[in-house]
Amino acid sequence: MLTQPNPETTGADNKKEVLEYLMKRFGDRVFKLAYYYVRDRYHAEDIAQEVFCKVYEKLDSFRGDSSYYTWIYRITVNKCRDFLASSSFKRLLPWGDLSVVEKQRKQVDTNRLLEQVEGGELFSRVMDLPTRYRMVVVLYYFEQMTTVEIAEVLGLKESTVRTRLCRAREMLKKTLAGEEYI
Amino acid sequence: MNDKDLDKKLSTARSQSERFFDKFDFDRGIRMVQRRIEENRGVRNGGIKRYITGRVPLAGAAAALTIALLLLVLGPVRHLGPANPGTPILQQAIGMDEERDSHMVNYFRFDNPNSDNNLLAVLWRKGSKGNYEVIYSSIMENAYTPNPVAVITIPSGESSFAFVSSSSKDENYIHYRLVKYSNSTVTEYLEENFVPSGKIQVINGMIFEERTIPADYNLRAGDVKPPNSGKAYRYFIPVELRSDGSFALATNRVRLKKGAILTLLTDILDEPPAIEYDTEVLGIKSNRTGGVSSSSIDFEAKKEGTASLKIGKKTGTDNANELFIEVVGP
Repeated sequence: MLTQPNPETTGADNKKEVLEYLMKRFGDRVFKLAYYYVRDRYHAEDIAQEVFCKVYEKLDSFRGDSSYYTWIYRITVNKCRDFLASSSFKRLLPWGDLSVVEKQRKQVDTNRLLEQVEGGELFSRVMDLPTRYRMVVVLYYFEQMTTVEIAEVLGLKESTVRTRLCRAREMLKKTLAGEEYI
Repeated sequence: MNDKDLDKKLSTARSQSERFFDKFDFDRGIRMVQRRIEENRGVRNGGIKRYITGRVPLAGAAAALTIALLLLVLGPVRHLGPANPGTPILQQAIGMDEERDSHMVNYFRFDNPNSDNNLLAVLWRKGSKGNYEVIYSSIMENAYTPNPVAVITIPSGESSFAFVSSSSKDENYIHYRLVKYSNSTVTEYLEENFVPSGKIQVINGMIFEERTIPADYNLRAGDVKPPNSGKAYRYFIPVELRSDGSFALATNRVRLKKGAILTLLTDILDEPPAIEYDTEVLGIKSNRTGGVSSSSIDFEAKKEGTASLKIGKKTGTDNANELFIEVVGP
């Protein structure tokens, strides 16, 4: 049984205890959220680890304005956005031929292709949506979050979330029309 | 399509996503986070000097800085003639145990009178004092472009694998190596050179190879030789014998093209695993030692359909691991 430590108690040991609780409680979900963004298992693992390092760093300043869940999700979203905005291969240091980087980009595209195969056709179709639409769909339909929670996590207005959900549904209808997967 | 149909499909997509994520867990991540936090604490306590020496020896850092400055001043000299030996053209930090950047791979270019553009891939392990020691190296002849290294971990397994590969200048062929790292020991699982018109990818613990082949590549003794050459597809899945006696696979689901070869890679010489599978969909091609790896088992995807492949120490054992296979049309 996973019991939540008291975050009011201070001290390094308690901080570690809280972190461990949070990792056990939310680790898998953070990984999933990161995967939804980056569509690569290894990058998603890396991001999830970075998220919890950040959580540990900021644990003292967490004021409880939101739930742990929303707070950690927001950190994850920011990490994923940073990752997508920056070089995808920050740990790779090409000394010479820049075609290497281009080659790896191509490889990531291919990775995605095969990740899709691994996940099932319909799941892949959802993952094929552009990121802004994909995220609202997976959070709403797969993670069962409300539009209010999604808006908070993604830093959007609730009306924007609803609009994106509608558009995403239309896109999926077009994509899936005439294809039998079930 | 109406809303009801879409809702039904989204529900199926959700089930597929759950199945997909079932095979991942964050347990290893938890240990990694704890280590990273401990490391960072050490860095803060030790100041900037400790930070630098904790990662790269000072002499190494100075040498790297000098090389970088020279490259800036002199420009891309390596294209004008023989490359500077000792200058890595690609350097990548990788994590092969619980520490994040515990290892590093360098590719060095070196030329010889007969052949240009050879590559030397070197795998280093970071020591406790920040020093690096070579634990594996391999030469790739007539190779021009080093490819980024992929690390494969087996869920609930005890080893990591580094996948190192390179391409020729005109991409006519590729070279690749799969190296297992376990308990500070390195074993080469796989070495392939001059794979013709090849492509290679590592996806979720599986290595997928495509090559252009002579017509008889997949033939068994007695088969009729087809008239033309074509593409051959091969899927490599590392398998590990765990300390509890069960086998762990780097992936549990795979979709194969019909006619492709599925190779289970092991390093278990004494006790070959017991394997059960659907013989309609899959056919065993060879169970060998000294082939593409120290010990490997090849299957051929014979017929479209689905199959389950069980791997255990003994036939019918409860401790068997399962690989779900779908064979699809070419």
